Amino acid sequence: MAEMNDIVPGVHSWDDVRQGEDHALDRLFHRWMPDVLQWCRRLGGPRVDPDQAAQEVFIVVLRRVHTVQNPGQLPSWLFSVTRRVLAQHRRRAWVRRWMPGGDSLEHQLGADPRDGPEKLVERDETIQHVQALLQQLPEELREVLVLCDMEQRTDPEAAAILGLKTGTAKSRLRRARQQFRALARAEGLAPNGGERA
Amino acid sequence: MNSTDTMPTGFGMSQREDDHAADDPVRLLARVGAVTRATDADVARLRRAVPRSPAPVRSRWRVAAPAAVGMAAMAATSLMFVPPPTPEPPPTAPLSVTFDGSVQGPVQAAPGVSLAISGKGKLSGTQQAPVLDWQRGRVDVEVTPGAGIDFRLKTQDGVVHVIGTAFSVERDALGTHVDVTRGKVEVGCAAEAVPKLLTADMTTTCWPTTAGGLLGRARALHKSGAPPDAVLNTVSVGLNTADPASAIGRELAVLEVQQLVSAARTEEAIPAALAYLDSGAALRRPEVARLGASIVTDASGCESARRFLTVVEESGTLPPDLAPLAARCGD
Repeated sequence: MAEMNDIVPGVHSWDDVRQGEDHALDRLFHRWMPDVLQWCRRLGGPRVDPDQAAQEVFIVVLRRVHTVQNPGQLPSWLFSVTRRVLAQHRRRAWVRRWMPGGDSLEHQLGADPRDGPEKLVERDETIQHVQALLQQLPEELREVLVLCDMEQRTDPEAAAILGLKTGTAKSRLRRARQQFRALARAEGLAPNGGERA
Repeated sequence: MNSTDTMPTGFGMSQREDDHAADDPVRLLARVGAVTRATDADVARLRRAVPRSPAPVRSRWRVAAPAAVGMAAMAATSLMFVPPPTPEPPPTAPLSVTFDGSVQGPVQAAPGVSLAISGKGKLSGTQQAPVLDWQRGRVDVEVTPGAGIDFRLKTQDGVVHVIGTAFSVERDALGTHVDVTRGKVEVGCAAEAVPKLLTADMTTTCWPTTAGGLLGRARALHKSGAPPDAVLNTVSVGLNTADPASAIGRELAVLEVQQLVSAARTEEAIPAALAYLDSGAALRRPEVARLGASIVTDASGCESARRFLTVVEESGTLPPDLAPLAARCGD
């Protein structure tokens, strides 16, 4: 059960997860919450609250994990749930933007304007630039770039999560890097502290 | 568990790094990946927010039966048992209430202290001496005069000390605003040595004290359409507080150049722009050089103009509006 132990460490039977056993769900949460929260942060964009999105993903997990037939399917299933939840959140954010008062400082900055002044600026300029550039890429390229270059996953791992063949993931990664490089260079971003010397 | 990007068959960063040249912007992604990692605290917060199990779907009978038994039991016990009145807590009883943003509207924080909450904070201290640590948003406070209540409201920017009055406090990007409706309050701004005494209809704002907070205030002022001089006042305090080599110090320096240019204070703007170019900052160099070039006059000479034009040209094509300057001052 090497695969099972990798996917949900400490749980011996996938049926325990599917049947919603407390200890099995606890282990699943423990193992996968960091990944899901990071996906929400890195793929959601500035208008999505990553905590709220991740919370919704795990509410879906509680309700629907019994539909996952085997542990090997869990990573790609979780990723697809996250993708759907993020898309819903982006649509809601878009609607808010077109409602009176929706295009406020809060939404422009991706932060609550009632936050203290420190919070509004304690965001690394480079992160903002990089995330803004990522948002300019098509979703399929952004996803592979986040999985491979931000999360340091191998091409086969990323392919498994995205439900793609390894070759397809590789070619997407190549295109994603090319487009990201072009955008970053146009913006004057370089790896040495985010600024071109 | 260590909350990192580990996968069961994960691999080290070195393999990926080998794929890219040292100046490849793709390397930035690993940096941002490291900064946006979920910490254990993030995960703990998320776990608290997610219920342990989905809401159970019960049959009507399973719900109805315990409910019927419960109602019968309540009916029986209510005839026999009258609960004693809850005793008033002593004035020294400790207070501990967290307002997480879900509470909106009036709250009786302690006898004689009413709060109308719209934001986040934490109430502590005692009934006699409540302390409200206010993080963000607005709170209206009413303290009954003559009740001997010593109420303090703290934010990161200052402390409001009051005995019997009504006032509101709002914390936003500009700082902490205090508005007194009735009575007197003493406001001790963290950035000021002497507390201020405010009476009815008086207001004050405690400025942020950190460089980041001051940059936030300056940006908020700028976005609100405040005149450049008002923004520059805040920028100036920020520049005195910030490490010039930090990202915040450099952003303040760029904002200073922008505002000096907007205010047409050419004699100060040109040296400020040159100082930025000399500081080694790279990210906003073309923008600052362009601003500098846009205000070079005959009086300021061609030496600084050449400096600005060189940086603008390094970052791409020379814009048409700078062509006359290049013609006049070019080598």
